[in-house]
Amino acid sequence: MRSRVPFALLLAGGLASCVRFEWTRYQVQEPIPVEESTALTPGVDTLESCIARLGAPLYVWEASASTYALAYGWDEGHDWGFNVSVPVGDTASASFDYGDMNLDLHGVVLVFDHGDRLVRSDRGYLRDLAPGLQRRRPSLIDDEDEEPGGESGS
Amino acid sequence: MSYRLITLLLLLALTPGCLLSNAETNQPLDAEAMTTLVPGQSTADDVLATLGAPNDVVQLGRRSAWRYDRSRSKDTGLFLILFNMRHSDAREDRIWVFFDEQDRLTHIGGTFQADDVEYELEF
Repeated sequence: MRSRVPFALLLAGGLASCVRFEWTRYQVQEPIPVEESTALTPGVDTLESCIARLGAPLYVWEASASTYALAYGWDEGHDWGFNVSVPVGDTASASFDYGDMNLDLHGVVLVFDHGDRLVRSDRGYLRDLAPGLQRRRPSLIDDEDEEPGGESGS
Repeated sequence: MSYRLITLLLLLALTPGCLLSNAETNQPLDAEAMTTLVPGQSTADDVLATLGAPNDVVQLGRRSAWRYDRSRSKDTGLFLILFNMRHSDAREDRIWVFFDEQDRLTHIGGTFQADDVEYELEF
């Protein structure tokens, strides 16, 4: 029995290069409570009230010629991984890059008209909410055109 | 070499590493300075003088929005060769300022979470 312990330890060391268990927990940004996002009412809430309630968003972008969008995002969880030479499970990462919209985040997307009134509020994965709303090149503005939305801020 | 010494050395070989990492991007944002900016009164020049150059500028039709941010992350890890355990915590401080087409401040919002990141290692 005594001789089995060092043998088991040697075997474990030998397996180290090809077998590995991983446990990862991650947290990216603070989640927005469901009651905070569901309390927002399209047609009633404004940019001011939304910022007051949810804070500064992760992303702001022009969604269409007449709307713009704010996105809040976060992620938290844990992940088991078991590697035998090649990874079997996904590994998680808490890295965050503002430059590219991180579509794996959970999030809330708020769409406003140019009168700063909330038009729509959605909650889910940003990858599901953002396809039509991803950050894009600003629309061209012709000075002779009518001002978008007919109003400039509140 | 005794049996115990060999066992001890092998055990030590299986507990080779731990990780504590603290990363930070950009300078801390001044939450108090943010409160001196007044929607309807302050201008883009005032914001520049108070908060400096933004990290990003977004055009919203004829208007614009500026972003300021600072991020921190803390990683904790325990590497036992056959079993690795990690925890990552990444959060941001952010300020967004919105201007009308005359570059007058219309809205400002801040979120400050970066200093809440923690080292942690648990199931």
